[in-house]
Amino acid sequence: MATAESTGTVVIIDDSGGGSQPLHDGLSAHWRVAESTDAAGSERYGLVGISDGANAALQHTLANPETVDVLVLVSPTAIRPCGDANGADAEMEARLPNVQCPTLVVFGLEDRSVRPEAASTYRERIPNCNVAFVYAAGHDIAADRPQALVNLVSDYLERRETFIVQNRSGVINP
Amino acid sequence: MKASYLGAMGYAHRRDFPRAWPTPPSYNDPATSVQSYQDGIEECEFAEEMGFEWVSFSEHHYSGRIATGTPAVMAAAVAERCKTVKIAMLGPLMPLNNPVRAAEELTLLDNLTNGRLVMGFLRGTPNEDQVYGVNPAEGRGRMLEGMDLILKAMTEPEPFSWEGQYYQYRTVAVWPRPVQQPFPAALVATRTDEAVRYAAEHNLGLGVSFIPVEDTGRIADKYRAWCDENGWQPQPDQMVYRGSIYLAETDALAQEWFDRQTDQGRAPGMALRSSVSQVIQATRDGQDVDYRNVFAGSASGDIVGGAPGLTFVGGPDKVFNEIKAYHDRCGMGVIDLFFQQPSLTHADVMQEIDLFGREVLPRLKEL
Repeated sequence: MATAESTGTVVIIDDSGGGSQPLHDGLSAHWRVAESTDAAGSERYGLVGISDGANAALQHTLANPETVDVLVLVSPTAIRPCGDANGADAEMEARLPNVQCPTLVVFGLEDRSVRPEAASTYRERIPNCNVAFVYAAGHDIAADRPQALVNLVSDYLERRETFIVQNRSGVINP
Repeated sequence: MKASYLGAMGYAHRRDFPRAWPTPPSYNDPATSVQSYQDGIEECEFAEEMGFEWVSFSEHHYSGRIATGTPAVMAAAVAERCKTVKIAMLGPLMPLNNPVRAAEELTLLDNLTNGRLVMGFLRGTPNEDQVYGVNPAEGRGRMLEGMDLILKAMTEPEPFSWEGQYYQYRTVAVWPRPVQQPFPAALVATRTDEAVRYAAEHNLGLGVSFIPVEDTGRIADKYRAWCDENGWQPQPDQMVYRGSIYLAETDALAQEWFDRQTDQGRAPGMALRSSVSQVIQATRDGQDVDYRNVFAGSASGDIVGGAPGLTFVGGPDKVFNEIKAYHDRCGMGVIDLFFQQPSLTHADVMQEIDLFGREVLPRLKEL
């Protein structure tokens, strides 16, 4: 979880129609949440994209590597979407190695909008990438497991790839 | 139909145990214990020799009746002595175990056996919740999430994080990969609709234990219907029934032995104080518990419950027909049998395996 000292700006791009509200509310306790990359100002910022918005966030990060500090892609459909004849956006897949910032890719375990191998493709191609699966969630993770998504994204925004290090106390009776 | 020998590895003097669970460790003499495990392994080897096609292991704790609290350790030892049988882990108790650790044990066993592993997922008996301090109310949820996590850990090619309801792991990358792809033969051992439906939705087999044939049949009917809804039908090896057996040369001899057990009050164990049993069951069922009303047990214990009774008792013909009913009515393709009744010696069990292998098993294989 983010600490009280967390600062900075986060931009959420959500084309899914309001599904980002729990994330917006959860992150705004510790970050300034801007409505768009234009509203973020001149400082570097964290970028969170949801569903098709994740694809836009990925495009934006590739086009503006100097401004995006950390990237979170929630349920992205940019590559290997189900129903696509080719099953992959070859051009986008080829560009993934150019993502320079720490990146977290999040899928609901029951998301059927992309092929199962999409997760490993991001992980293999983006140089500093973690993949997370949210249990008991489909494509709309914010609706299915809002608190789990907030906790996960918030922790990653704060700690980037070091979020894998356990920082919760296990002491029961000190 | 195939037969499976349940490698219970019971302590030789288990007939002397008090009825209540747990059995105090003071009842364990190390020399007797060492010999008991060697006897149990010998029984598995002999079962393989007599035509059993699986040897199974089951996680049970704090008792020498089924003395395999860490079944993966036992399975690994037996797998080195039994070279052809399937090694069936039926199984790890899902609510108790770290699913990542369970996945690592299972994939390692599948490697050590070169793909002979069968894995079964169980919730466990009520007393077992207490072993690692699991809230009984969370058992079902932990089982469902644990199964998902194990299957994901076995199939995902890249490291991943898991954000669950009961489990959170930020790095999962299980080694080794299973020999059987995408994952070893698997079944869910359950009686509840939720878990039966899970098995059907995930193309997993079904295990049912210790209930009468008609009750088993109703569960099997639901399972097959839900499999059908999901576009598939289980193979015979994917439907397993576990029962308890006493086989003698004749029905009369078997009945005589059975009556003697009853006269001597040798009911199987795993029983609890009634107050504890009530609270566990109420908590599992999601009921509020008023603890002021459950501490009224007597000092002597008010022991209730216990392991289920014998499913199959008789001579070869009777036992064959009783097992056949599970095949014909329920579609069971594998019968997993617990031979080590508390009053039996190692020599008794070996005689039973021999009799079963000669007189019952050949006929089962023709089903």
